[in-house]
Amino acid sequence: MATEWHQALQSQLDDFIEKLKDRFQRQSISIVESLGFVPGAGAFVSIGSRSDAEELFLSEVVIILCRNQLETYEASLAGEFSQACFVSAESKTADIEKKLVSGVHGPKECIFVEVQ
Amino acid sequence: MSKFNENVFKATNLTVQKREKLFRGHDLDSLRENAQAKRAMSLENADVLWKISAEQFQENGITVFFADTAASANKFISEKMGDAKLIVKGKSLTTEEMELRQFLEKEEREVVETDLGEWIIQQRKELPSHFTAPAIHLSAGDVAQMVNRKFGENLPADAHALTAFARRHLREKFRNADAGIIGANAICAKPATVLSVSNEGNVSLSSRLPEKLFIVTGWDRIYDSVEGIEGVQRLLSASATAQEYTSYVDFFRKPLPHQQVFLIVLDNGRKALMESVFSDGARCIRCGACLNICPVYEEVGGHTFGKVYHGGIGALLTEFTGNDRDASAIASYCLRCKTCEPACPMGIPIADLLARLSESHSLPFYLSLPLRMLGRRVGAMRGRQKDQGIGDSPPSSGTHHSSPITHHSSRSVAVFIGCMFRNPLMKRERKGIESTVARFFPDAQILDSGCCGMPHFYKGQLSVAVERLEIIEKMIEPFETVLLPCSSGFAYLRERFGDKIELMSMAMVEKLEKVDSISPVYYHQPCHLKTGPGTKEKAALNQVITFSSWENENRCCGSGGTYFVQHPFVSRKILSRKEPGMDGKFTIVTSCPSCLLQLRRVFGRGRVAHSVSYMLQSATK
Repeated sequence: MATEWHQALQSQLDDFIEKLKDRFQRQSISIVESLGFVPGAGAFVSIGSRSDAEELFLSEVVIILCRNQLETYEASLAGEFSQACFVSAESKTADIEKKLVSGVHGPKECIFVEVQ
Repeated sequence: MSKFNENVFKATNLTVQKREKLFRGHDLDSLRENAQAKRAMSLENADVLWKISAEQFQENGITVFFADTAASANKFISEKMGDAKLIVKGKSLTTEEMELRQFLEKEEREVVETDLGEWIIQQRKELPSHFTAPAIHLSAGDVAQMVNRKFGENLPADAHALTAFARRHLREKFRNADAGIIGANAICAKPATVLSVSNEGNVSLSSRLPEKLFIVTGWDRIYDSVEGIEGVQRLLSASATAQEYTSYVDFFRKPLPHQQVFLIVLDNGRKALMESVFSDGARCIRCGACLNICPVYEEVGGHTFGKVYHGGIGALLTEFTGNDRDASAIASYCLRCKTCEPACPMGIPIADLLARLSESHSLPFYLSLPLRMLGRRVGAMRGRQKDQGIGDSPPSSGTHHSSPITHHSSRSVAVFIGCMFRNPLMKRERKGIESTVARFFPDAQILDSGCCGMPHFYKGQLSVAVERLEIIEKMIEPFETVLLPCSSGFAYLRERFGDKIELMSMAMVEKLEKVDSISPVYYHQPCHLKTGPGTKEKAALNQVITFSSWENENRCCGSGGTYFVQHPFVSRKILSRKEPGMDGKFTIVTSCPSCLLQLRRVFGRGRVAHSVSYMLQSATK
């Protein structure tokens, strides 16, 4: 998934990630790029392989890099992809007594980083 | 009240509160209008749209199979599964309808439900009890007991601990599964795209990790294009779980490099539903909003109220996708209160559709007998044969306007009293109405010809209901305004005859001064005034009556006309929700005669008054 702009940002992100690692006691963290994001709603992520899916759904914390601002995610649907996911929050459930619990199957936390 | 009731009651109420909060400040009407238009147009063109999308999916490498029946869908999936032994499955009502898991388990495959609620009920060998919250009826204690017994754990009754256990247990299943099965909320034809929403991420994992993916959907899930689909998804999420976006909205167009993908499109009665007089019901998006707000559902839960599809809409879906006997039983539980209709994002007239459904299912004798007897007792219509009460046929010529007091000076206003005020238990209220007419509407003519036909309509006696409407149409034709003291009759006739039908209580407000009461006065909102102009009744009456606030004023009382005879225990449970905190001296004011009689069962005669009688009495003082 690496791209040029991703590499340029890497050093800036290193500190941020180190802090996150401390915060999450060195739990598994993955970083994924999005095709676009809707402010306040979520980000549209393309899934082209099993490993893409594992990155997005199997780590405990996922950081989604957002740089292409959209009004709605429908703009992303006009583009080409095999599979995709619009992610708006962490994996969560309220199936037991309506109590909200994060990380039922996927990430316990989802962090959107807007890249300007 | 049992723990079971309390679990469902608390959960549904919480969702309703969250949804109301979410909808505040949103332009819900335009979101609904757009989504409804898109859905209606797509359903009308389903044949063409499925053809377009199937061709495109096939080109993209996804195998599409159209199944006429659940059996043929199961057979296809079984064949394509090959030697797959471990299967992870997302929540899907369509697969519940097909009993797909049970079918595959008979082939000695391990099928694991991965939605937490579904996983819990799978372990308990139960059926889901809600469209979107399958374990809504269980407490954390119930779940802990199951986990500790079945998996040898020692976990507390804590949602976090139990969820963490499920995460560990299911993570290995995801990693090692041979095949995944998921449902789809929508299929867009242009470009061919599957859309599936979830919060847990189990759909994302079940669909991406295994080598084989089976997406099961109904024929009615088709949409024309991706344009506008976000609005549909937002409406679905908001209505189902009070979220604008679920955590994940998954999209599928092509298989991933390691995958084989099959799309199974199930008919199983859906086409017949779409082509029938019940076609409005095909717009259902299975959000469950109607269940969360249903006064019956929140007392009995899903297992009483249907196998796969619950509630009023469930009766209709079961009629077409299940067997008739189930549908009839589910339909009988519906109060016809119409509380669900404003909550339905697709604007489905559920109560009206059930009236039609009832027409095709005659009530069993043991239910029809007490109803008929009650009809004679509470609604014996004057001037009719002895055995003609509520629910029986009206006389063939019923345009007589007989009344003990008839005014002829002006024909611009009429008062249609309605059959409930002929009940001997409503003698005082009837007198109050007659005195009110004499005092405040001296020129009005009293139309005293009995029933408006609403009981017939909701019991499915549509021909009788139509006959009544024809009679009433002629009867009210000369008048500019027709006042009704009965809120149910008002709501029913207003829908059919428009603005000329007015609620008597609201009309008399302008003729009165505000009166303060020493003891608290509470307002009970009849269910039929929860939509339309009747919603403004309390505000109007507030000009005359100072109402004290009552947490339960909007809560259904469980009367439902003759419902308390048909399902007395359910009716009593619903009524009991009105009781908490009601002590001392007070008066409850309502415009519905049926609610009034029901409320008197717990609060006594002296504490419940009809709005018209109450205001007259206050004015007289």
